[in-house]
Amino acid sequence: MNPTLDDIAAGLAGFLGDLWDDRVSVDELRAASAGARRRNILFRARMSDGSERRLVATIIPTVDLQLMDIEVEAANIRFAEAVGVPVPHVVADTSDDSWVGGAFFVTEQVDGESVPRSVMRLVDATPGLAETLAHQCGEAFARLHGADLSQAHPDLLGRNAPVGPVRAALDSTRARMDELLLAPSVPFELAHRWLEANAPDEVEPAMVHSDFRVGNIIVGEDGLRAVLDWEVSGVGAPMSDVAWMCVRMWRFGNDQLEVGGIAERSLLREGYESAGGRWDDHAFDWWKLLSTLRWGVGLAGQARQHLNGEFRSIVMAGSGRRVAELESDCLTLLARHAG
Amino acid sequence: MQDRPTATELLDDVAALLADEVVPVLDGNLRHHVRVAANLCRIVSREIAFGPELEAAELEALAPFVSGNVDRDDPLAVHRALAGQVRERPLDDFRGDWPDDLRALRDALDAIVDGKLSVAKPGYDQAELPASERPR
Repeated sequence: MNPTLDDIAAGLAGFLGDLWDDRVSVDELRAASAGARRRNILFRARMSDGSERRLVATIIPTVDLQLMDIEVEAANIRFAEAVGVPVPHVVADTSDDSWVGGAFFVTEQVDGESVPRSVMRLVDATPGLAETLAHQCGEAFARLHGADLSQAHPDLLGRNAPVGPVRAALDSTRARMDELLLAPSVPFELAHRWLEANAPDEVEPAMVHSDFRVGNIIVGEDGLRAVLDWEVSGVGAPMSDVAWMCVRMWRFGNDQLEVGGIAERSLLREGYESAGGRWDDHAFDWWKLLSTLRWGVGLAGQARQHLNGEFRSIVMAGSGRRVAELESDCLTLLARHAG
Repeated sequence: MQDRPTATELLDDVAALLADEVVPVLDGNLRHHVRVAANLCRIVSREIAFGPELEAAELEALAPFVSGNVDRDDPLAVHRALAGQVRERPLDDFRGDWPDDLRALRDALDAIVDGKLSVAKPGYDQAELPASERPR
């Protein structure tokens, strides 16, 4: 059964009390917007001396829904912090599910906007913020990609992959096309063939976030304050990480600005190179098309799950009719790249 | 002949009811789901209005590209055949400038996908894109 907020408050108070060897009370719990796989609960913890801390508990309700060990995720956030990527500081993590009904970690709260529409509004209302933010995102990517993998957690996702990220992405996308598409898509076939024919060289694998985009960052008037949601971070190709932030579906309608609907590519690139990153436009474009194709196939997969009864939802049904958007994006990118 | 309101008129009425009167009194997931439902009603309404014409145009545009013994009046068979043909083309065809027939196929698909978007998401294909995504 899903624990109530009161159950969670009691569990967090007990856990933090043990951790800090103090009498801790927990209140002002508020569920933040969260994905289907996890709950993010904002709360206040008060120590016996009256001091207080604003914290967030990220709870994985069941092990089935866990993409990565909570311990690895927490280690990745600490690793990112150590190399200079802004993240919410991790206070503690535990795989003990007796406290709040699931493994969880606790981080400091970071003030600012994270909902895409609010981020866009703030950027529109704050002169210079778009440029600052894009530059800082570039720097954050470069610091992460330049980090020494030997210092990261041994169980990092993808650490011992038998093939490089380019080959792995081509093969897994082909497999997903065969498995998930509800009807053959000629635009997606063209895209996959182009990707096969124009694959960039494999590069030295790096630590990547894999879902770093508007919606997963906290932004203030001063710029980037934190990169959130490290649940799919691991080893991958640097340009795949930056390209993901720049695909059309993460621009939230502000289509003409490639970087998340807020800035042009050159600003992200300048930030990336200023922090020592090696930018590659061909690899960037390649990964952008690959991600677009994968997303389109994923939408078909959602409609498939709805239709076969595995996960009935009007939103998943609607996803089937969004596939054309991604076919259109693929054809647009192909027209650009292929004469 | 059925009596009026027509199917598309009714779907538009249901969409308006959901979007204008139901969505504002809801919150959370259900609000989102009902908004999606209203949008799906509008999609179906547009599909009833333009679907048959679009499908006829699609079959006509794709027929010249299909080779072999394929029922050219069966959209699924046509798409399956074309996807197979694309998959079997040598990778060299996809490097540099494409052969004329492949480019023509891409242009035909562009028009077909724009037709699908006129039902599923009007305006999507008219957005202003960054220079890095506009044709050279």
